[in-house]
Amino acid sequence: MTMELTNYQIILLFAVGGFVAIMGSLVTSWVLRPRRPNEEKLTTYECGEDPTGTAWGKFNIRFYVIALVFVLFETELLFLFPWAIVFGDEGLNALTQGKWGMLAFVEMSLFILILALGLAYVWGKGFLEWEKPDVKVTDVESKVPESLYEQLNTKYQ
Amino acid sequence: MEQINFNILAFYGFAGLAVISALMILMSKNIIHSVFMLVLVFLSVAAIYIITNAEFVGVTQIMVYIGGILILMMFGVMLTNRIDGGKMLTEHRRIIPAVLLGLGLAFVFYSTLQTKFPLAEFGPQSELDKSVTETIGINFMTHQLVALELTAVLLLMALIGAAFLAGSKFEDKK
Amino acid sequence: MKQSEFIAYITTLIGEFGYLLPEMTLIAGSLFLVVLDLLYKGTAAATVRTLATLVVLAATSLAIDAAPIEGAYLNGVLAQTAVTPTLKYFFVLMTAAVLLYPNSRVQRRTGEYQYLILMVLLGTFFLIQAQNLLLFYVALELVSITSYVLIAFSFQRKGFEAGIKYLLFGAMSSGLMLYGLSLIYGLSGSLDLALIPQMVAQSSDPTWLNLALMLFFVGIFFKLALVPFHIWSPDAYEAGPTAAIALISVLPKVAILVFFYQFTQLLDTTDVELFNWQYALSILAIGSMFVGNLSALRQNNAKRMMAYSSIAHAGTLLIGVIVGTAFGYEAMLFYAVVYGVMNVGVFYFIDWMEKNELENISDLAGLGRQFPAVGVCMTVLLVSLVGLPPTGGFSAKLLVFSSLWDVYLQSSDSYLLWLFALGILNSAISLFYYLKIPYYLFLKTTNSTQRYRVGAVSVVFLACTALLVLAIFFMADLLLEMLF
Repeated sequence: MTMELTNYQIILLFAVGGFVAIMGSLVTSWVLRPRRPNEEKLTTYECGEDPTGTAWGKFNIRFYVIALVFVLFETELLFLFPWAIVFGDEGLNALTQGKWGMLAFVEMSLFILILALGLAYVWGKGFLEWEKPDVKVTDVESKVPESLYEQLNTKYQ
Repeated sequence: MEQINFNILAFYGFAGLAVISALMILMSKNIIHSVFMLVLVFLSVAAIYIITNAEFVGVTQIMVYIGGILILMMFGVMLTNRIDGGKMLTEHRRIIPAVLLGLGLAFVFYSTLQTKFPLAEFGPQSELDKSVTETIGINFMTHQLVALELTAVLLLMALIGAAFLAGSKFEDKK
Repeated sequence: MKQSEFIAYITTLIGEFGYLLPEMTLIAGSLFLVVLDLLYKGTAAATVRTLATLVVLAATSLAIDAAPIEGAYLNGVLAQTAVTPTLKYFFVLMTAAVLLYPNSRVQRRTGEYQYLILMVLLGTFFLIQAQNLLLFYVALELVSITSYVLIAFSFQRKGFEAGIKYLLFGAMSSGLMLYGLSLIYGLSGSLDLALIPQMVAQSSDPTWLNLALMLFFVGIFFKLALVPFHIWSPDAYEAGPTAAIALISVLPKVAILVFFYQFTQLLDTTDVELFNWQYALSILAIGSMFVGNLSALRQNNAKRMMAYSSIAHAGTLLIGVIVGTAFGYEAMLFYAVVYGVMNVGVFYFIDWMEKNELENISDLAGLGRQFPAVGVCMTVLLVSLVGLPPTGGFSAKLLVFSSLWDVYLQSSDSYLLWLFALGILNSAISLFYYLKIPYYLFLKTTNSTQRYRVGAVSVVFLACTALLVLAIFFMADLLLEMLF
């Protein structure tokens, strides 16, 4: 009896294969490599600054809101996939004299429009704005007047 | 018979992985370890979906849960005020009632599993001759059309509600 | 699906979209509110938004077809009955009343508040019409998730805590329910309510169906806050904004009960030997009434008291489902409408209390003499909540219990008699805590010299609800006629 694999099962096999390949090489090197640690080797950066504190800093809540928006639009995207492959189906369109295509198009447009309003909402409410550092514009008061530069520019054009 | 064996073997492998990682979420005291164990749970569940020919659901699982929800949970962990370099620890309380309730539920499921699941006749395959994902797409546009549009409204509501609750804190500062 | 069927399917789908006009108006209106919130940020923005919401509600009620074509539409996904428009009008009225609450200024300042209130309304519209389990689930989640957000809208630490608690319990119960629904799908091969019984009948062994129904029911019981799935409700009620609580203590419960009734009716049509769900529901109803009423006795906080009271009332409402006759359904809806009116009135008063920073019932001492009109209205409403004449609460309880009695006479199952007797006993118990408020209002005196103000609007609002409750008693047949 032959085994019939669907495309996704092939992908799964590839994933397992990739996992084994990576883990295999890591494990092999872990088994073979010499282990002679010293203090210098164990620091985060072998050369350069000694880090202070931990890597677990507190996050800005803005990351969270953006991740939230991302998840919701990703969910929307998932609804689009199955729609996209049947929306232009010629067989169905011919069967229903074009009604199918119109229906699918109008409904999905509504779906996207409703969710696009969500984007407008987070944008309008300023949830996507980042706290920008104030950039100080420094004015250099040069003794050389601007017109001199322009004269030079025109001269050697 | 070999084909069945392969599928069942894979199912038990991934199901076992899911259960073990879920138990490790429960047992682990470090909340960050728990979140990483959740990746394994989601992955093995996705694998089970793919084995059972529900490819679209499997891909959905990977995209939404691993790609989205987990990132969100990670942010959630990192956003909490308590992080000051120390580990975030969790603890268990009221173990006895929880264990009793769990055992009760397990008993209910076990006694049900003694009888064979009478799977319904789903009728012959659709005459329209479509793949799984295409069938889902057609169903979205026909039978579940209202549910689909309502989902859009639901998602918008969730977005507005969640963004508002999460964002109401930094709105005041300005 | 056959090819020829597909064409007919698509054609009916396109042709029957007009049936959804009220829902579409509501969606368009709520989207308009979001845009309004983004564009208009003037000084009177809160008032403008509230007015706009009322306009949307008015437009929705105009769009409701008062005499609908009964039966399923959109290929059996949704269905209308004779009650559907009345229920929709009732829901719209409740929503409008809730928007007029005095203390909701904090909430009204944010544009999202009115939008979320409308989303609850939209969810209930779909819940009472849904004939498809998936649509039912999506509509239920729309209502539930909106409720989680609304609870946190008081912007206090307590509110967020209650919201999280509610969310965790809710997510768990949704998960269980979804599992049950998927098992039902596997057993019956269909998500359409109409097709489920005949497909279930193909298999004779009910074990799995019992499990599926149990899981599904647990989800529903949680949303109805029946004992022992009620733990979230007192905390949520206490911490949430009063206006939102007044809404989510009535609308979702009534809508879910309507769906639940339809679903249990289906169970009766199958020949499969199921577990005795009427018996299980009776136990839950008795438990809810007892736990709700006995816990309410000990509460001094007005909102917590109302939370337990709503648990008890949910138990009473469940009797309509247990009875399962057309008369029982009628009685249940009658009770739901009366309960909604009473609830809106009492919560309005609690909202006024909160505005004046009164939390406990004992703080009310002597206020009734200061404001006799308010005191009298409150007394009427509370007497109605107990279920004494001459109020609508009495007629409602009379109808519910007489429908139960009818069924008992026919089937002579002893648990129905227990339900009957203990239900009436519980009405007597509830007398003690409901009348605590009039007792404090009129009979207790206080030394406090604090003066409060009651606006004319508040008096009119309370008087309207009290008069409605009285009117329902004297013209009960009118309401019954409207419902059926």
